[in-house]
Amino acid sequence: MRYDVTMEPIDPRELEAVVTHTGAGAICTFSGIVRDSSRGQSVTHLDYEAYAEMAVPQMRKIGQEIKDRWPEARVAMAHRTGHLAIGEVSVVVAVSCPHRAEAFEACRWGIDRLKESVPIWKKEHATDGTFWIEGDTAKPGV
Amino acid sequence: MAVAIAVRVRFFARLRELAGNETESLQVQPGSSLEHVYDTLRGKHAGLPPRESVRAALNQEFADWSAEVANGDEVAFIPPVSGGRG
Repeated sequence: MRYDVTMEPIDPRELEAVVTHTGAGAICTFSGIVRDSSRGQSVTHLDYEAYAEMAVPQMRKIGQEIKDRWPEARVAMAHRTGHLAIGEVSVVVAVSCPHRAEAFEACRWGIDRLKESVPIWKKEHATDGTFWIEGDTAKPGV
Repeated sequence: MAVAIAVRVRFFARLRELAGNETESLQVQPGSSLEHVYDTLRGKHAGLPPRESVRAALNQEFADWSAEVANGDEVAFIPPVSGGRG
C-alpha cells in the first residue's frame, strides 16, 4: 500500500511495483494525463493544489474501501501537485488482484472516489484565461 | 459571558484566492458550529461562496455543518474537488 501527494514526477511503473506480488494475476493502472485542451480552449499548463494533511488520509480511506469490497486487492495511489506541463502524469491509481475483472472494477472505484473525495484542486491555464475546475464547472481564478 | 475560543481556518484553491489568505485564526464562542464559523468568515470576506457549494472539514476529516468546534481545532472549507470528467 502506498499513498502519496508529491511535487515530484510520478512513475506509474513504480506504483505497479508496489502492488505486485506472486498471487496477483492482474494489475490495473489508471494514469491521469494533462490534456492540451479543455472547454474547447487550448490549455498551456495546470497547477494542482492539495490539502495534503487531509488528502493522504482520504486516499488511505479509499484504499480501505477497496479492501472491504475486494479483499485480495492491493492498492497504490499518488497525486502530483504544483505546476504540470501538457503530457505529464497528474494522478495514478494502481490495483492488483488475482484476476482481471476485479482489478478493473477496483481501479475504477479508486479513481472515481479519489476524484470526488480527495481535496486536491486543479487550476487550468488556458488561452481564454485561468480557471479553477470545480467538479463539472470552471470558475475564473485570480 | 464565556471566554472565546480560537480555531485555525485554512482556505484552499478558489476559496484561498477569494479570502485573500491561506490561514487565519478566528475567535468564536464555545459551542459554535462549523456553519456559524463559515457565516462569520463570509461576513469578513464578502467574496466567499454560499455554504451550499462548499464542504466543511474539521481536523482534517469531512464534517457536518452542525459539528461544534473546540479551541485549537483546524477548520477547512473545501470547494468541489477537481473531479469532473478529467
